[in-house]
Amino acid sequence: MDLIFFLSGAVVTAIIAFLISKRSSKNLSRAIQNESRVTHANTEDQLEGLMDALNLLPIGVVIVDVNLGRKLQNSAAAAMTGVRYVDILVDQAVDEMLEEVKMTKSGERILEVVAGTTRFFKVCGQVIENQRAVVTVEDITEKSRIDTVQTDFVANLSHELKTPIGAVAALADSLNGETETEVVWRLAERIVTESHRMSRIVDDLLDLSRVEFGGTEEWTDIDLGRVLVDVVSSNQHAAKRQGLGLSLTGSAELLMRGDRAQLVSMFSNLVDNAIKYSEAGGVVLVESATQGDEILVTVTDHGIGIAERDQERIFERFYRIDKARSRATGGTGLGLSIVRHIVLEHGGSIDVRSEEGVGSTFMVRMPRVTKQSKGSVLDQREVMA
Amino acid sequence: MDEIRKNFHNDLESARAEVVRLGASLTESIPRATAVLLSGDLEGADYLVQADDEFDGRSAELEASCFEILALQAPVAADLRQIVAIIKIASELERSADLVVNICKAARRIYGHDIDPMLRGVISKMSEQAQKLFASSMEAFEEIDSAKAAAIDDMDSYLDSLHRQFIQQIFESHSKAKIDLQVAVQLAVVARFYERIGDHAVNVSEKTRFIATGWVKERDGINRYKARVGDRTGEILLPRTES
Repeated sequence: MDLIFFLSGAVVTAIIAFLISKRSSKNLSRAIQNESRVTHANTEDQLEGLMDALNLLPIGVVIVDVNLGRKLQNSAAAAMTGVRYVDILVDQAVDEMLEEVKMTKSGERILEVVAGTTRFFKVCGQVIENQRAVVTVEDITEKSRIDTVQTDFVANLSHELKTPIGAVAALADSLNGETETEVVWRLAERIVTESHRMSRIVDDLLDLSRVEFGGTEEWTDIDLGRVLVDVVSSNQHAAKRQGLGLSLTGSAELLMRGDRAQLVSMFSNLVDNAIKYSEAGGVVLVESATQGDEILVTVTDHGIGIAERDQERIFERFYRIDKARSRATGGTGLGLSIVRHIVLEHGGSIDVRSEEGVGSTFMVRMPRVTKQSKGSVLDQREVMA
Repeated sequence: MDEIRKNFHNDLESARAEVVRLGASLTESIPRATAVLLSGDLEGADYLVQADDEFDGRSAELEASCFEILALQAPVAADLRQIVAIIKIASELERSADLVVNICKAARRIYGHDIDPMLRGVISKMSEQAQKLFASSMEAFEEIDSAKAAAIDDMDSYLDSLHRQFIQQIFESHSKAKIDLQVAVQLAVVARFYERIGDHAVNVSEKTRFIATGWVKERDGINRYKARVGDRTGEILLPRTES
């Protein structure tokens, strides 16, 4: 009987102990769950904060856990350019870099993608501790463009100056031993032509630096309409010689502040180019209009046009699309560069729209002086009228 | 999802991703080849010609992986349509890449000759339109967007009209003695390459419509044939027996 009591007591104790232990283990597991939830939440918060920070970067960042295969990328990496096929190619380069760094620990390559114009991306990869790897992608298109412009400028400047200098030296050398008068004349004439070319380049360079560093002291109130009339009439002869029509249309009231000589030189340059690159029988059209606070002047030709890839480079110093042709037309390669500087100096902007074989339109926008804001110009116009 | 199906879907997804990547490479190579042609860039031509070998290898691998999926996973319905379409798209992409190479080879043949600006302008437009067609067609595939895919055909008619305009322009340039006969012939062939690239883009978009809805373009022709000869479907599918 005692044994039964003992056994039943033991069973009850065991059941109670079991119940207690179950309850406490439940509590324990709940506590662990809570704890891990908090830790998890903290990690999630931290991760979110990190992602927010990474998303602000203009550089694409991809972090990969090599073992888990988990990939984390910021928004710049997810859509580098917004052009789908370019983004896919960038994405592919990132994946290739991840494969590469598994073997080499770190790597770097430049990806070149043709999308309208050529774009360059720098893809760098690095393995970090715990089998994680980071790949960064940077759009270096603008940086490499500036590098190219700088390198080209030095190369072109030396070339442009060296060619006439070389020619003068060779001509002078020939002149040295020459006795026949006719040949001497011919050689001397060539020397004069080459020196003129050199001096034109130097003049243009000086003009350019004057515009770059010039102030606004020389500025006066100007009627751009009259500037355009002067430019068009002084170029009529050149146009006629080429068998072209040159006409001016548009709004008369185009008041602005600026340097008259610079503005004349700028529009002459544009009109001169339009004439040079047109074929006989065509028309060069200069149009002006006001648009709100701006004056819009367009110079349109129906000439050979400019390829898309060259359009953004034509305003660079010495940039030539077709070297042979430019030499034939006698340009120094600085014209459009001066034009752009003058426009920017006057607070304006210049754009080009062009299609090969169809023609080009250069659009110049300049800030306009309205009647209210500038009484003096109006008075001057009334006096002139 | 059980493990076997998960593997299957991963394989399918990788095949889809590879199509998208091949499509992106192709889309990028079109303006690249045009730049080679218009600037006479022999080095660029060599690069593209060599890059085609890699492209061929990748599309062959893609096809092989699709055959493997077909053999081992026996997909059905939409999955089956997808695999079959990918196999067909792979060959469209491979053929288009060959056409890009052909443009580069033509650029080598006319190296040193000037191209009339009028012709250069139309070449640029054709290239832009062919690229636009492929970009849109690949986007439609990526999103399995049947409506977007259906619009590609209309976009192609503009490329066709540019092609006609180009041929006309070649005649004009040649009559004004602005272009050599040899260059004229090469350029006419080049124009045909762009036009064909556009056609391949349309084919890709048709496969996308097939994935989405099971639509098959040829069915229109079959229906027309049936209407003409009466419903004798068996005879269309089987060769006629000589009596």
